[in-house]
Amino acid sequence: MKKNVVALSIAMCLATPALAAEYSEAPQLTKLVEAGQLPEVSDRLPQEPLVVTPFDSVGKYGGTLNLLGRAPDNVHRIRIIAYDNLFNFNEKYNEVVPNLATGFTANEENTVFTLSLRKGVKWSDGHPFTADDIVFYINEVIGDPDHAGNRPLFISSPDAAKATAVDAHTVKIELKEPNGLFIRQLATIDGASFATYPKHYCSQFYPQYNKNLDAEAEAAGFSTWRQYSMTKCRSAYFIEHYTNVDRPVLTAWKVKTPPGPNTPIAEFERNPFYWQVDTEGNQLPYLDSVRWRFSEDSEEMVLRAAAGETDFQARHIGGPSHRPMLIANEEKGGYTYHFRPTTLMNSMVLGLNQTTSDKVKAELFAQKDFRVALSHGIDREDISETVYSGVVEPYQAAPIESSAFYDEEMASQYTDYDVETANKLLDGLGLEKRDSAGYRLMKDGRRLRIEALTTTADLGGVSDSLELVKNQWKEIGVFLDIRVVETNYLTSLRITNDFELIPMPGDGGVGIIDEARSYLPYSPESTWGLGYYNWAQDPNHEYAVEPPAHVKRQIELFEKVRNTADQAEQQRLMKEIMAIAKEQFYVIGTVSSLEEGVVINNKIRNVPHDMPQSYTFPTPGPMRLGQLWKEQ
Amino acid sequence: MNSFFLFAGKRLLSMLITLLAVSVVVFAVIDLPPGDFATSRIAEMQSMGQTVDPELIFSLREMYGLDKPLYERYLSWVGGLLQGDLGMSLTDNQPVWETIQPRIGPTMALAGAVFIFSHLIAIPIGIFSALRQYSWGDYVATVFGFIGMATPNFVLAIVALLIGYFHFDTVVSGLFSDQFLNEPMSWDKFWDGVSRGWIYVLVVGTGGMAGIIRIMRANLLDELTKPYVKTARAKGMSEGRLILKYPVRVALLPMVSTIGWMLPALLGADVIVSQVMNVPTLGPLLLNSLRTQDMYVAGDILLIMSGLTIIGTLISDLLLYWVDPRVRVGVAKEF
Repeated sequence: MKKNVVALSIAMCLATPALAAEYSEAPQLTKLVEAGQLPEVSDRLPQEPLVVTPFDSVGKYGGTLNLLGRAPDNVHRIRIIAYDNLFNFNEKYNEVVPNLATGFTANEENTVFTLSLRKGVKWSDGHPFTADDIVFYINEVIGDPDHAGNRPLFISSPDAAKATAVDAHTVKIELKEPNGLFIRQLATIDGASFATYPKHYCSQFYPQYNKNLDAEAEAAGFSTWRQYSMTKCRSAYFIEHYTNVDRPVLTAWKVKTPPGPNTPIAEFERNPFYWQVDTEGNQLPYLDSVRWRFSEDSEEMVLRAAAGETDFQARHIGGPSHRPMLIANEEKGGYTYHFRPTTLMNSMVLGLNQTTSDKVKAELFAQKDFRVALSHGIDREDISETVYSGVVEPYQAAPIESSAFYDEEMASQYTDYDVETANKLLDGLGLEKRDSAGYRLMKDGRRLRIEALTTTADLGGVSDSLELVKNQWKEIGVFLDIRVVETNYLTSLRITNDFELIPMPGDGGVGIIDEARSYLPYSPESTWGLGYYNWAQDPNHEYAVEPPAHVKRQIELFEKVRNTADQAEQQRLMKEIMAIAKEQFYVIGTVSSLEEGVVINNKIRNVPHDMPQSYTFPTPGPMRLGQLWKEQ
Repeated sequence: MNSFFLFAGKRLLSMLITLLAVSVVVFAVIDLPPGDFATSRIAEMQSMGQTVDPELIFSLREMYGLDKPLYERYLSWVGGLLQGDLGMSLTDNQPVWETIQPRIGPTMALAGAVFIFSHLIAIPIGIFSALRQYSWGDYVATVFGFIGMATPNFVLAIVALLIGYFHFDTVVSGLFSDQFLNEPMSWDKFWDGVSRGWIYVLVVGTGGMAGIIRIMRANLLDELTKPYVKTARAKGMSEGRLILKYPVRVALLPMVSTIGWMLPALLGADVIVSQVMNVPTLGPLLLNSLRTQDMYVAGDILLIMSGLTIIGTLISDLLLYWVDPRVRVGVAKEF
């Protein structure tokens, strides 16, 4: 701890760059170069392009990646097109690797990060990508207190970060709070916006750079310049940055026909300035274009997938109910149905909101015995047999085997179906009185009723399992009231912390530090203790609830995780947090999660087969899709 | 003739007042469900797995002007409408007209085709059923009509899709083949649409047929026993001419007077079918905009549909005026 500056270098997994003269490009680009419409390939590539080692083979140029999707689903497009962050995860999800940035140094407090950017990278219009672009994004876009787009959760307030350009390829980022996870967070989907703001283009939509902006916004039919600006230069969450054909990008493909209500097919075309090459010096991507065919209806989408209309896809069609259809039609559709290991720890977790506004229930939900009783009241074999044909195991809300935090005891505690123990525990909590229907009464005389909120959009597995739990809990005198509500209404209830239970798939099987919602009040998705999360953000928050000592201890420990960049220390602290989570048993798990099904066209090459399926990750982005190619 | 213009003018005036009232109701009703566009945007992000800071809602509301009171938003919307500006779609950040306009053509074409198809088939069946009451043909026609009515349209749509896939190896959803999708309208594209659109017309059309058959049959049965029919027959008029010229014409009146309701019913009834079959009509757009609480798109579409109802009613009135001499006499008395 005596060092003044901790210099951390990320493993430089780059091969020696090939000589400039050896670079080759797609034939369609060669034509443009010959016609004088594009500079030579060596002038378009950076001094040290990122060299991708193909999984199977060096590819051939040409072809189209055909996909199916839903028009508003920007996440799917981020996964395929837009995962080129400053730092990326590798395809195994166990390492952060350089991407647009090549390395960094940090001070000991983890408040100042100096990133070196890859030299000579160009936006898709040929304009250089420099430190100014990052400075513009941090200081002027998300640094604007009235910014109405998303901010990354790790820079959630306008003054949380300040950036300065040291030189054209070095940017210094100063954080208000220490954050040892900063570089890792830059690699998550939340860090995607950092490399999507070309200052030379986007600055024209900010009033400090453009005096006529108000008039231009009005002429374009917008009532404020902000709306106009958000349309032209959005950040990634909000109808992604590629709805604007003119906006330069750093990704392998660039939008040609943007998705929209009247665009049944969106098209993306090759970015001639893409800065990655394969081991033989061929500029990526191999595929000329990406085409999304949009469906309004998921059944129709599965039918199209079965007919072979998608080349490489898990999104929307990977669920258990679609499996038989997709497997049966493999030969007819010319694809193979593969499985990807999941990073989910559970197919459905039940996190009773311990901070709900109903005081009697909040008190009850906060009792560990109550949660243990409910857990014993679930027949997990029944769920596995009925919903998942018996292929999944009873599993508690706990990390899975491939995680460094795996703990067999945590994974199996309270999972046996034991009505007697459950009843005994509930009687012990003073819930022995029952009404005429056999349901227990709470201390204020009301029936013990737990309201579970779901929406029609919920995945089949969750709602089916929930029905089974409802019947099983009836045996122990607990009334599970499943209410299907409208999504907007659910959001309103969430924001005001006015709900009892929102069942959800169990995120956080591996990559616990990136997704710990079930183990501590980690994010707004920690619905079992949303009031605690609010408290941790701001004790004066309107819907904050002061947490008990053990939760406070976790929040404190997680602060420390953030304050260190030492990965071993982070793991040690996280283990301590997980030990508390195990002891306190916040969230009830049901059964382990199925692997994710992926349709892969038999002609597609360079698909890695052991890539985990995860949102934070975001699969399949880290495999570097520029290397996909199609046998003609 | 003078009375006709008075009649039409009075109708037009009441149309405008009705539309204004409808616009108030539409806007208020869309605002009724809890939440607004900002909550739905956040819900959408959450449902796709993103972790969202709920505080974002406040800046979103401000940006889209959703924090303003309802009447202020209404006035700015209606103010724009009066100047021919339908407002901006919140979802797509483009003028609503640009979102709606490409769908109006296919919607009207399909609705018109469904209307013509179902009437062309159902009216003759209805006449036949009435003339041959309780015959085998009557039973077959009735059963056929009721199966069409009792089976939800979207089920028929799914069956059509599955038959297409398993027996003809094509996915028949969507109005146009893939190669025409992002192309401008041309004769080839139009014929492609016709060659695929008939499945949609068949699916939606069969659903509405039973009603027409029954109304036609019942009305005609009533008329057939009336004295004027007997008189005409006694005077030796040929049977075919007699039936078509008098009782059928009278029996058609209820159909004519409800044409006004057919237009919006066709636009509304097909929402689910269009959704399932991925057909670019106004239906799915309306459904999505209601779901995301995109007030301006939903409001504009509903207003257009109400406008069509009113126009349809006007057409019915005028048709009745023309078809039914009794209406003419009534109007003449009124003025």
